[in-house]
Amino acid sequence: MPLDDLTRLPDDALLVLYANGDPAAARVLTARLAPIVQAHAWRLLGDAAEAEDIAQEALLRLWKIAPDWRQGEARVTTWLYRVTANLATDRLRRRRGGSVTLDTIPEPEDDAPGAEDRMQDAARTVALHAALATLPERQRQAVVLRHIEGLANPDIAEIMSLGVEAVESLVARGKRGLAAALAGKREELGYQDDD
Amino acid sequence: MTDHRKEPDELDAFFAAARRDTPALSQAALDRMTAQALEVQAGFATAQETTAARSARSGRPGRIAQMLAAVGGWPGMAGLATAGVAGFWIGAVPPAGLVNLAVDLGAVSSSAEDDLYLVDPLPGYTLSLDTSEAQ
Repeated sequence: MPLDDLTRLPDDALLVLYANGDPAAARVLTARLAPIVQAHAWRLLGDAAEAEDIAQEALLRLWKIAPDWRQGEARVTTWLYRVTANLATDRLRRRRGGSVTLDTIPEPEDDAPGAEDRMQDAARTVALHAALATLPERQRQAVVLRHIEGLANPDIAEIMSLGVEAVESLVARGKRGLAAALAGKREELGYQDDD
Repeated sequence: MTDHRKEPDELDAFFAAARRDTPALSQAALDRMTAQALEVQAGFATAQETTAARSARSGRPGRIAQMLAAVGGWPGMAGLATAGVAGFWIGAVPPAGLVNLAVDLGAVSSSAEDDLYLVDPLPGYTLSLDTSEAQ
């Protein structure tokens, strides 16, 4: 099948082709899923190198279970979000003790055009990651899935094996925790400019 | 219970920044992950070939398998075994009714020596003789 046709196929159909030995399906799936997994891992951990490791590990697990994948039972991305969150949680637990605090965030430096906006984004992102790191794991996962990945609550409920109401509650509590953690940083990070 | 307070929505600027500021996956990392996907996939082909080769090697059934197939497989073999045990049991400990019937039909003599000739290949024939003599 030509590559263009493959790119129109849904993930689970590509996974079947992958399991049947189609190398083009391997390439299309990796190009499609690796950035999603890496971005999610980065948003949970705030560390690019660890995010890459986790993306590689999560995809490796997907490739290994491909021959046993049951079409229609779960979405591939749902499964990947779950595996990625589990791997990220393992890393965070190992990392405990050396956690980042808002006061230890380095100031980003950039002299290129539009640099001010990017620096502000980067500073806010770093501050957000530090604040996210102070939340309980499930709250952090729910907030990231809802407000950064932009997923709907029913999808998050499926990923986290929870009811929708439980997800809403986790997100609400997580956001309150973030607001408290970031309270002193809003002005410093140019938050007032957005009003 | 769900909290509907508006206060945390002030975080949107931070979330938007985090969405924009996500680092892109490097081409080197993508190449590495693609190579890994192809490597795992190649393993599937090897595993399938090994399985196919194993079944090809063991394609011709052995003598025991052929014998089993001739009697209808393991279910047939089980029936044969049951019939064998039942036959042996009837021969070793014959039910009283069966012995009486044999005596009545004249297939058994009264002497112990003659009991060596208990095997009666044509019991139906003997019965017809007895019946005709009685008439």
